[in-house]
Amino acid sequence: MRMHVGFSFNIKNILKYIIVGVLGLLVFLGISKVNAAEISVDEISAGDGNNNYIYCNSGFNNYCPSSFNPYSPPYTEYAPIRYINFDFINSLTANHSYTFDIVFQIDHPVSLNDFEQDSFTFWPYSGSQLNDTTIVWNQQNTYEYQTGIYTSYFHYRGQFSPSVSSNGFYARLTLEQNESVFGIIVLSAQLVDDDSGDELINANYENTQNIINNANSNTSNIINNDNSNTQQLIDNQNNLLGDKCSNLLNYSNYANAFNGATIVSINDNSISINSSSAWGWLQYEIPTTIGDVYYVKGNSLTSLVGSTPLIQVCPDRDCVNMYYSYENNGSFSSSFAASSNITYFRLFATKGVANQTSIYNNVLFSSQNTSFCKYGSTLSKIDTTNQSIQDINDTITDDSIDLTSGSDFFDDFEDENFGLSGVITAPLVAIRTLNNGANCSDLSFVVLGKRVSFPSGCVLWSRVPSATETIYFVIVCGFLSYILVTRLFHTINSLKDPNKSEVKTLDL
Amino acid sequence: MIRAIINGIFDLVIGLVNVILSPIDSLISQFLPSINDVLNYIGQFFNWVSNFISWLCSWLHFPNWFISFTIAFWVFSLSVPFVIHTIKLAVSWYDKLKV
Repeated sequence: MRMHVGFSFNIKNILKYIIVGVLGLLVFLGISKVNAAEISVDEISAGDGNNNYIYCNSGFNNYCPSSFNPYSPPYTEYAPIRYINFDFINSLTANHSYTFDIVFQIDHPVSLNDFEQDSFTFWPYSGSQLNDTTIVWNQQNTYEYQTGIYTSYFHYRGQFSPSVSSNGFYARLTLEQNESVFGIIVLSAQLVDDDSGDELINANYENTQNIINNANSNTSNIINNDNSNTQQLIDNQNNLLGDKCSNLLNYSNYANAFNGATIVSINDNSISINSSSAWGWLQYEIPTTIGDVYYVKGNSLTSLVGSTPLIQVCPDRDCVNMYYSYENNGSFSSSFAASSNITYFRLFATKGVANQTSIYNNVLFSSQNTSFCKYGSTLSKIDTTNQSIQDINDTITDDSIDLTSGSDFFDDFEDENFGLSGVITAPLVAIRTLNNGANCSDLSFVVLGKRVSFPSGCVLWSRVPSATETIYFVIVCGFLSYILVTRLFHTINSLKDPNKSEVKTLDL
Repeated sequence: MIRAIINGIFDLVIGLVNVILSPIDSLISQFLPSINDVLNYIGQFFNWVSNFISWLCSWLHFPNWFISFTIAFWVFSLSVPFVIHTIKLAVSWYDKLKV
């Protein structure tokens, strides 16, 4: 029973779903990357507002100024700062909206209620200060690290939109007044392109659609090509296996007129005869192969005016035995198996025109669609091959052939268990008995006039579970077989020794 | 198949021996009936031994392939080395005669 469900489970659909799934994953990763992009901090600097900036080394986790020794508190030096400048290397796209997040830590000597900033401004590398910068959020937490040393954590979030593209930007936090600090450390910084996500999504969506369309197109092409190739193969196979038909007119060389009839003309459509008799006929002698199956077929068969065509297919010239006979106008088709190498195919004008004894130049057979066909030769060869294979299989699986033929041959040698020959051949008989295996009959003999019988072991072994029997075979027969094989190898190996001439003999 | 071949070989040998010895057996049975009886008893004993072998096989429960393999091994061990060494011996004789 074939069940049809909505989900078509085939390799093409699976590939398509994999492509879509991978693209979806890429889109997801792309969005995630945009939303979680960390930007690199190239440089941190701080100054007192009088161009006395003190620069730090590049990267995160760099205290500024570097001359401080922030790792060995208590701090002994501090610097008054008014500005905190951050240098970020990150490409900016013109007219994109960016959200900037930065978390930094400042160690300072006195307690601060707040780093009241005047502004948090941004400068692209190329271009002037951005005026549309806004601080949307800030947070400060201050802890007293130890007596007289405080640590404040700042988190600022600002938004800006550069008018020109740039390879980086500066961010400046301007304090309300000079503050003394031991050092500054940037803990994290993120820059989110608020527009690139949509663009990337749109681009990915477009790419996805393009790929899906291409995949669908390619899949459709593949299916079409497969269908075309399959149809072509089917057509070719049908051509090979199909019937071999030839127009009957192609056999005009094999046509002869009889009973007063003579062939007048042969053209593309018909064969015309003259006949002095109403029973003149045209007879084809078409070579065939014995056993092959042929048939004739025709459409719109016509013959003489006022007559009915008669078609006879015969294995012999005189049409004593007839394959087929047809007498009618119209279409016909019939098959026959050739029993000789020549098939005689007759076309009669059976009923001549009334009161007319001669036929002159009449079209006896005028159908270009009339064919002489042979059933697919390839098919018959395949059948023959299959039959041969089946015969071989039957021969292979027929165990009785070898055994029976061998036994028949050797059964002619009768043995006699009496007299001198019985004594001499007794060892051979014993070996042959051993070769035949177990005999499930009781062992009985007469002792002191009484018959003693020992039961056969077959009774016991028939009750033993098959698993136990298998274990017994493996252990006992496997062990003994191993010994025999080892000795066999030793025997074969000893044959290589030219000096060793020991030959085992069985003392019969 | 192997078992059939081996059985066939033994049948062949036994049959040939019977054919060869059948005139002698006929003479013994005709002119020395008592000896013929003794020989028959001996033959019956070997028949009993053959039955005992079959009975023993039923208890040992060796599969037929194993029995055939064992016999084939002995046939090989007794025949092939003998043929090989016979050839070696013939070659050595030839070498000596050639010198």
